[in-house]
Amino acid sequence: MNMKQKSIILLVGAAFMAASPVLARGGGGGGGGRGGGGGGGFDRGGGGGNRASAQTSVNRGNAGNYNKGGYNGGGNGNRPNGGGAHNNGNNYNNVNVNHNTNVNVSGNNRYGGGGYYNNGYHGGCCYNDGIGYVGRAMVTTAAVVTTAAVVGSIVNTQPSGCTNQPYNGYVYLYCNGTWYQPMAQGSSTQYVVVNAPY
Amino acid sequence: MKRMHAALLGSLSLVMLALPVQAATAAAPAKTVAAPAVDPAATAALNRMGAYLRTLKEFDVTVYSTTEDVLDSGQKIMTNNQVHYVLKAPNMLAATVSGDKIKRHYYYDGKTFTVRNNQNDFYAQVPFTGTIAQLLTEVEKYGVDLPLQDLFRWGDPTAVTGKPTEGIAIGDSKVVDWDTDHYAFRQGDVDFQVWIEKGDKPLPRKLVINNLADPAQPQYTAVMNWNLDPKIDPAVFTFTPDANAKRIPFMTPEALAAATAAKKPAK
Repeated sequence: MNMKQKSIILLVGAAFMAASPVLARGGGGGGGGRGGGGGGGFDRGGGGGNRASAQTSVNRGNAGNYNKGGYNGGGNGNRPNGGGAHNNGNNYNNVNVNHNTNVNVSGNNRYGGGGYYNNGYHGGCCYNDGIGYVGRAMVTTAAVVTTAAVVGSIVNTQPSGCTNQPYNGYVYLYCNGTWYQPMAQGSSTQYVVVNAPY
Repeated sequence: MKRMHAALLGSLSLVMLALPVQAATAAAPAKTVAAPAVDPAATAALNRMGAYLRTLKEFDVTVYSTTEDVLDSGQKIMTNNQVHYVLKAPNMLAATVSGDKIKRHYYYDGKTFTVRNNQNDFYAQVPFTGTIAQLLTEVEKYGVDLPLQDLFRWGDPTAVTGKPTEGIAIGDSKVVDWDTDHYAFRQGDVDFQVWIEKGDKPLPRKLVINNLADPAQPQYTAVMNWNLDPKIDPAVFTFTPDANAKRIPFMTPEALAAATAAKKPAK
């Protein structure tokens, strides 16, 4: 092929590319351009958490301290993880719930942080880690890749397939081979993976 | 003795005589006296309101509130909520907090504090004795944060309340049907405004709190309907588990440690 032919091909190629439609910019379906959100709706998909909330009292026990961001107190919903657990001055409740071993959860994400608008929508999930781990087992550092959750992992929606197992005055959940103990954090419920209680 | 007195009087008179002369000849430049940061009238109104609240031995208040949450992008979303408090001083409180996505009942009868999550089957409970203000402080370690705690703290010298660093009187305002005086204060991480009913029952009728810790300044607003003569059924303060209710612990470091400790294999 001589030079002239090559240049023609190049030119044609360039023209073709110029003529082809510009790839649609990312930014969510439905006309949204903003990070992760569809236009108009409340779908905030993909880990859009709360960075702050209104304070519902002027004076609280710890001298009115509210955290600097991430406090999800207004509606008494689930507290956000990672970006700001509920921070009193004393951080009593600053339990790190960013245990990212995936546990398949179904059902609605309750109000609170990224889960608020999701209502089971796939796009935003796994509020507990802010990253979309739905349906994917995370590879652990151990040699064995397993879909069983690591004891101590915490999720904020009740997994599917659970039966109630009362023990020692409390109820445990046995869900598809994994034991959970529900615990109250503020006014939300967190589900902690535990060893079989008996 | 007498002589000293005379001498004192003498010098005093001299001083007094001197003073007016000094004032007359001093070139007194116009001084701008800055208004105090906290208008004493505003403080007085806040204190009077708090003191009045603490005289109420029983009340029933329904609160219509809005709460803003700030998304990571900075956009604010508002939710509508209601709070219903029934109080019997000093140590009984029944509360319902409900809203767009939540419904919770709280019970405190002077012996036990219970949270019942009405969106699932669970309730959590701890024993406690103390005043309501003490309870509210105690349960923060479980992440429980009831709204409008000021209704139980204002006017209580033993309760933790901060002092506003700025306070001004705004003027008259009508909140729903009530004639109120409107005040604005700054206190630490919040700006708050309160509308206090005029007259001999200085109740807070509206409260607005701006959280300054975030640049978007998410705001909480609350309008309060008071019933000062409620007929309270004493049973409302004690939680009676319904058929579905199942007990869970509050999530504390101790509870987590106990739950995730290695268990012995079953025999």
